[in-house]
Amino acid sequence: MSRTKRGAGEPAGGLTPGDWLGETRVLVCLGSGGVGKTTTAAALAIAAAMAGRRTAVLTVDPAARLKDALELPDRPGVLHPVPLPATARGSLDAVLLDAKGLFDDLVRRLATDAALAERIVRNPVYRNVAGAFAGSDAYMALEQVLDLARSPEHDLVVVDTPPASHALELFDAPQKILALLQSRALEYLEEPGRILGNATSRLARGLLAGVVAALERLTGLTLMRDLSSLASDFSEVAPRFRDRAAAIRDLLYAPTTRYALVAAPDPHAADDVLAFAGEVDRLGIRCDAVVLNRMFSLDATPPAVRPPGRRRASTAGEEWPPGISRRVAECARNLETIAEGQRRVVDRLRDGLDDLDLRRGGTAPRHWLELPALRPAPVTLAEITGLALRLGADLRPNDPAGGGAKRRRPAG
Amino acid sequence: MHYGHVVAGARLVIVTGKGGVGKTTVTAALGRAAARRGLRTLLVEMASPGRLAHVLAASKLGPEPQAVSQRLDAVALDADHALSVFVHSIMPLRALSGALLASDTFRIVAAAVPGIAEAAMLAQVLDWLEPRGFRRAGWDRIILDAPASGHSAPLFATPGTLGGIASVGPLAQSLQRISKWLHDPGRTTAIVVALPEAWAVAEGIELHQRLRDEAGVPLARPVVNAVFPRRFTKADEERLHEAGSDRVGAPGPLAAAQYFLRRREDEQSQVLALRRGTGEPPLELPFLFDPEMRLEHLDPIADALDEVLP
Repeated sequence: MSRTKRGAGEPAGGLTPGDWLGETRVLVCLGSGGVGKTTTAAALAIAAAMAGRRTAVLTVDPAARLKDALELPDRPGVLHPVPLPATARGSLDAVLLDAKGLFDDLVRRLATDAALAERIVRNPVYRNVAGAFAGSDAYMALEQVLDLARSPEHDLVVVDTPPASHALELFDAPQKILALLQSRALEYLEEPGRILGNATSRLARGLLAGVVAALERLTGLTLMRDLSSLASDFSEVAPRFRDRAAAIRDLLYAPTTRYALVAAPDPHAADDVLAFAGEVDRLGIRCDAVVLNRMFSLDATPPAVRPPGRRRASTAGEEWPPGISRRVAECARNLETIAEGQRRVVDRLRDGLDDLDLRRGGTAPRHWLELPALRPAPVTLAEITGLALRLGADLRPNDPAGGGAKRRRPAG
Repeated sequence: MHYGHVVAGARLVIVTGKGGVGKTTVTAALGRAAARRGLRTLLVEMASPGRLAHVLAASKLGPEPQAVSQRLDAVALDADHALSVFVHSIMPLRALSGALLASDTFRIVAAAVPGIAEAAMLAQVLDWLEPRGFRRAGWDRIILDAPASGHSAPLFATPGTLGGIASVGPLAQSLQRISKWLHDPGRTTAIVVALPEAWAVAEGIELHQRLRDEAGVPLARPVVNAVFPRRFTKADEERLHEAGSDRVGAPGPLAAAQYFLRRREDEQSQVLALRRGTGEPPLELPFLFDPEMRLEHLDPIADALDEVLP
């Protein structure tokens, strides 16, 4: 097994992701839509590469935002080197997920003969829905991660997960797709007589015939015929597919695969984030890093560039007309409200995640990382690299308050 | 008494946009605006369960519409529930539809075919909008809080995707009905919501263009949510810029005011980008500084929205 070549205890330029990444080979960024997962994944990958990891970052967002930011050429599925500052001790490759193309490739790779593969790939149902099976993006992302993780060229694979409101999709995808494609129920559609022959009671026969008839009535005949031939073709590919799905599952639960929960400190989103974390927890996955993205900070905005000649101290405000002083004070109050709201969200997240740990019967350190809300938002590679550098600086090994929720919560 | 009440503007309003831009807040505010004008309004949550109830400060929403305030009702659509309603409506024979819903095959087909759940949910919404026999429609206007995750807008793609597979039968008929509604500017309006921030605007433009050019859905002006207010006159701004900095030590009120100026400058450039990208003047909604969400807090937003949707 290839291990990272991280120089223990010698972070470069204050960057320490290597320290908390430890033996991590795959870092999965989880979070609901709109929290800035894509940018965060890119920033984490850049930070890791700066610190010496040979890193690959996979984005599955079809809106191709990361593509623009990472200056990727318009070719999904191909690794592309990302230029980093000269101080980088590692390297970074980026790849854009191509769910549809990969699915075709996978079918061709797993099929026993070319004719079978072509039959599957040309099936109208497959053509219509293969790229859009619920969770197929998630599944193909994992396929690609498996390949990247097995390749000796990278120490670390950072994964940006598809925009899913339910984390479950990611973990369910292999099973779901398998279930669909090798379902015996679908095989029966090809020859309903087969199951009718086995069913002994007349009631059972009647019901089954009714179900098939009803399905045809509901969907129109074409769908059923195409689906059943797809199912029977796929049954030949299924065993290999199952091996692949098992390997992916192993990867998801490997100790070297770790999860970062990406959250925006939006007062209305705390419940969503915790619900998401709970879902992940029920799958037996612990997010041992939390990235708080877009934390409000006055410092995150470059000061207005003005000629320094006529500077006055802030006390000069007293000379201003009363109206402006009042409005200046209102601005300060508004921003304090935002910051206070965010602090409350962060506290709730800490409490909620600690509760999940306690219910599991143990606490391990959790890494809290912060990314500031930059204005303007980082869109270019240089800007995201700047963000990554701040990530390093903000990286804290654990709750600096030391106690976390347990200490903050009143005993009674 | 609203018998024969003529509904001005769209009856089906679809609020869409990338996650986290405030679709739910806009949905709730639109609902409040419509109810204030006397329209019996139903808000429908289609994803992120719990959000709408939170914004409305209501108790948990279920699959049956419930009253929130005067003339304003809300419901959380559940895909499974909508699907079974859909199947029962298409198949009059209860035993048969029951057997179908219970069958593995159906569950797998339903899970695999994209858009079938969306179609079922839309069919349910249209049932609520259309009069049945002598019974008038339950609501004058229905507002959907509709997800647009990543680059797919499955809700709008549904008739096309599914229609390519099912060309005959009750499913096809139902899809045609959905498609008619979704493309009728007299009945339906979609609103794209964005934030005044680079990524969100880029995606807002993409979504707006796709809905207009590919899906052919009638669109209202785009909405930019959570825009910082303008606090200072031009002369005041000059003064603030010249005042230097009070950042020695802890940032003080002056730094806060300067932040407001810079942030507003950045946000206004994003609003302009959205305007250029969509060819429509976006409607700006104010940033709500108070994190406590109560229904009446939505009024400033509802006031602003009166402009975009009659």
